[in-house]
Amino acid sequence: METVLEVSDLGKTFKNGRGIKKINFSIEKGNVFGLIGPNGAGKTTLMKAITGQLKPDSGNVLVLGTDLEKDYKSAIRNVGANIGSGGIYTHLSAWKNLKMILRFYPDLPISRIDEVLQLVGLSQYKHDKASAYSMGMVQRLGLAAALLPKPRLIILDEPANGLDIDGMLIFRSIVQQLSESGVTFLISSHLTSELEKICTHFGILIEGELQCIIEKELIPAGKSVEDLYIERIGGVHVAGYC
Amino acid sequence: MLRDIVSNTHNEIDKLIAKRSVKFFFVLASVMPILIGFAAGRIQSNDMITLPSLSVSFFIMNSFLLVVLPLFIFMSSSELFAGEWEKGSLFQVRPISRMEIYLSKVAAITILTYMQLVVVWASALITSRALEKAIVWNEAGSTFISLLVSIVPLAAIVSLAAFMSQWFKNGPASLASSIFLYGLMAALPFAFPNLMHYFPTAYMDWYQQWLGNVNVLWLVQSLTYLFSFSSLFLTAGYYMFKTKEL
Repeated sequence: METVLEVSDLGKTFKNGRGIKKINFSIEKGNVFGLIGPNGAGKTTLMKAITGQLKPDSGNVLVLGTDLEKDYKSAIRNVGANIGSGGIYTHLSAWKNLKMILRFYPDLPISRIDEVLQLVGLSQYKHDKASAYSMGMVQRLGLAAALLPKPRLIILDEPANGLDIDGMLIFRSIVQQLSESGVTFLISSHLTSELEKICTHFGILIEGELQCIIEKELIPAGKSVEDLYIERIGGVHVAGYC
Repeated sequence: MLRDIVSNTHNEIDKLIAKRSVKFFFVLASVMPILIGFAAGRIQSNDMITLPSLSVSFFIMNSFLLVVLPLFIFMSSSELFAGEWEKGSLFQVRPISRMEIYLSKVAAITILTYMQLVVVWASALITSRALEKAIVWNEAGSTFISLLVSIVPLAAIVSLAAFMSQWFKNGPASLASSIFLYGLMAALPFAFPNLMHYFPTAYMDWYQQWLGNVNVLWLVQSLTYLFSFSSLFLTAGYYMFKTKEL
């Protein structure tokens, strides 16, 4: 199995003492890795460090074998991400936002923009300014932006936030279809029930430390990821799964 | 590398021209020369005062170079650097290095600033044609030379603006501080005349040195100063930019 993302000893401490500590994990091709943790656990920090938006104090990140620090452009060319809503310019339309991303991928045709807008259900609003969008629509646009370059690794930070039922179904269907075709996902969320439906692996991040990685297939019947998470938060060691 | 800089410059220009404030500056650049030209024409027709048309053209040019365009540069720079930092969109997950992002932002501001100067020049030329019933080619040539060489002091102001924007985490603070600094640089030489040539504000009407009797030594000296100033602040700005974290 091909390793798409390999994170080794990744650490970042902010002035307030918070951050992430010596994170180690890897994700194989086609897997959907769900990152679970309470608010402030370091999920977004970890994602920002993995995508080079934050400079880590230690460790390194390999995307398809390419070191992010040594060859950022080559490594990131295979990554699509939606981390926060910072990537969306609200004074521009959805189409224009995506056009700006497409300029970095000259091999992709302009029709790719309409393709992804169709996929996330934003086609009819493509020329409206993103400032007029609801939170859920902005999330859909963020998802479209991550999908646009046909990446092999997609990183999504709280993608289910603000999504309606329709949006949730679309999101789930996209993740399932793409992962079956070999695209790898790293998704953070505090909605464990939602992650449970789509993820193959779960990482529990607490106070900047990756406490354990759980493989979905190893979770016994009658137990949910949420149960394991609560046990872990409560300090109970989840023997056999971590 | 060049392709990514060009792509991102295109993006930065798209972001800026979608802003109402930027559109306003372009409208100002096209309308103000007409208004000033017709006001000057009206004064002359009343025989109150005689204004050579070349003076009117240079008055328009000067007011843009000294006031309007620096204001536009500070606004754009605050928007593209400090403003994007505030919104969290300064760095995105795209295959482009920080140096390319920085250079393309600076290039976009320079291009739009220069485009405004071209609009001013064209508008002044058309106004002159309407008032004089013919294009005065000598005047058109002089203002065209002014137009070409004005990019040098403007580039120095763009470098300064890019550097200033790195110190702030929101657009308005960056804009206000840049305007204050520019005003200070323009005002200080009145109190301390010896300081004048240390500030780029003294070179905003640099184009005038290219008209009439050209002093080559002075041109070389001022060009060296402006080039050094631009390089220094561009490099210092980039150093701060590359160490930023979202």
